[in-house]
This record gives sequence, C-alpha cells and structure tokens, in this order.
Amino acid sequence: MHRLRQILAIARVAYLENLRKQVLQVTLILTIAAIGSTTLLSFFDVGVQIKILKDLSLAAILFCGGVLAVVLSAGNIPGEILSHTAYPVLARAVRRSDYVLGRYLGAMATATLCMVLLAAVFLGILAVYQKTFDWAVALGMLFILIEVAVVAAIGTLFSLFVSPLVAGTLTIGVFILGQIKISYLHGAIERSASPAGSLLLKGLYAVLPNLDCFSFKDALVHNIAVPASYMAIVALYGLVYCAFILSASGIAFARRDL
Amino acid sequence: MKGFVRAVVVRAAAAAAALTLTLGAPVASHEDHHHAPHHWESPEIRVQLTGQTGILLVAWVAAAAAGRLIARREKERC
Repeated sequence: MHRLRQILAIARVAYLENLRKQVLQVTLILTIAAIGSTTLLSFFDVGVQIKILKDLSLAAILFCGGVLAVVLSAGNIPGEILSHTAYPVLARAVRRSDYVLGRYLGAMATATLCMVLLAAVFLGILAVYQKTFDWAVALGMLFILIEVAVVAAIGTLFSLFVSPLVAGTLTIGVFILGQIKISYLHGAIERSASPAGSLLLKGLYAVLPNLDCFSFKDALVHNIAVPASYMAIVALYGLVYCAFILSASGIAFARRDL
Repeated sequence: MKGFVRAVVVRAAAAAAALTLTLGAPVASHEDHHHAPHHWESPEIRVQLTGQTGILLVAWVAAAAAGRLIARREKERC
C-alpha cells in the first residue's frame, strides 16, 4: 500500500509537469481541428461522409497518440535526471523500478486525458451524423490507447540508455515500422531475394511490436465485425508487452550508475 | 513573448505538415483496402500473436523476479 502511494505520488507530479508542455497543447488543438474539418465535406452523401469522418479522424487520433507517446516518454526520466529533480526522490526509500513506473503512469495519464478529449469530440460529431452513440468506435479508440501505451513503454526504455533526442527518434522508428509490420514487412520477407536481407527483415520482424494489430480502422469504416476473441488476444498482447518492457526498464534503471 | 509566438508557430507548422502527410495516406490507399486481407481474418497472425503473448508473459515473470532480486540486494546493501 505504501509502495502504491509512492508510485501514485510520482505519477501525479509527472502528470502535472506534462500538462504544461506546449507541444501537447499544439498537437491536441491541431488534431481537434483536423477532426472538425471533416464536417466541411458536406458535398458527399451522408454515408460516404461518415466513412471519411471515421477514416480521417481515426488516422489523426492515431497520429496524435503516436506524437504524445514519443514526446511524453522520451524526455520523461532523462529530463528529471538532467535537472537533478530525480535525486531527492531517489534518495528516499523509493525503488528505482517504482520511480520508472510512476513516471510512466504520469505520462500515460496525460496521454489518456488527451485521448479522452479527442474521443469526446470525434464521437460527438459521429453521434450527430449517425443519431446514435457508436460503441464500436469507442472500443476502437481504446485499442489506440493500448497502442499508445506500448509505444510510450518502448520510449521509456530507450530513454534510459540514450539521449532524449535519440530515444525520440528511435521510438518514432519503432512506431512507424510497427505500423507496417504485418502489412508490409511480412510480404517483404517473402519477396526478399538475398538471404542476408531476408535474415535482417526476419530479425526486425521478430523484435518489432505488432502495432498494426491494434488498428481496427478498416473494420470501423466499413462496418466489418471483428471476433471478440481476437480483440481479447490483441488487448492481452498489448498489456503484457507494456508489463515486460516496464519491468526491463526498471531493471535497466536500477543497474544504472547515477 | 516574441520568442514564444515564434516557437508556437514553428511547431504548429511542423505538426500541420506531418498531419497532412499522415491524413493523405488513408485517402490515397482507400481503394487498396478493399482487396487487402485484414489482420483479424488471418489465422497465421492470430497464432503469431498468441505465441508472442506467451513468450512475453514468461519474459515478464522472469524480469519481475530479477527486478525483485535487485531490489532486495539494494535493500541489504543499505
């Protein structure tokens, strides 16, 4: 109970710090503007307009989530070490793994707040067009949030080894490659003619997270049913991935000489 | 104040450019989506995900145990 209170206190401070970041506010405003701008396509039929609204808005929200995950995670712990604000906390009886977890939860609380705001705008506009609340889209948004959680965990791990700029760049790389893992890399391995290239692609395929599995955009846009068992596997995969990466981050930070 | 405005304008321009590129992709590939197989329909992907989740679960338990061991050693040293 005492440990949980410590983790939550660290998370609260991280959350309040993150809320003041300019890049967060700008990204949020631009994404809301992008979602709102889809209502200007009034020259299409309502059915087509709903499809475009879902397609563009989900893409914009995913992009915003990716930016938030990178920005909030890459500088989360290194910034605290550089400004020496981490030392008084770590000098107390706080486990380093708890510190990492607290900072991560703070970043995720900020990201969740932003995603909830975006979801409210998007689902509100959608409800006006469809005359009903779209629960399927709300569920799709939840999977985007799990994807953001995975990317933020990876960013946190990278930030413990390299500078925030390099960590951010690497996280963006993982985010982009993870998005095309099944749709492009899978086919590229089969098409690869050279054994060395194939081996490299296979290694990359094994290491990268399956981020495109979290995207149900096509199903939501074209109203295709997705098996609930598959969604459960994907959700479990995301949560276990986060747990493993955060445990590894805790070990890496504990072994680090500060 | 001038610096703040400039910083906000530069960041807004960069984010707008990136957002335009990202939003362009789904519209451009809209036709292809009808023909490409979806990941939730592929039994191969399902097996892959289940296997990876299992491996990650074992790795997580091992990492958590290692983390606890490190924390105990830290405590003993203190």
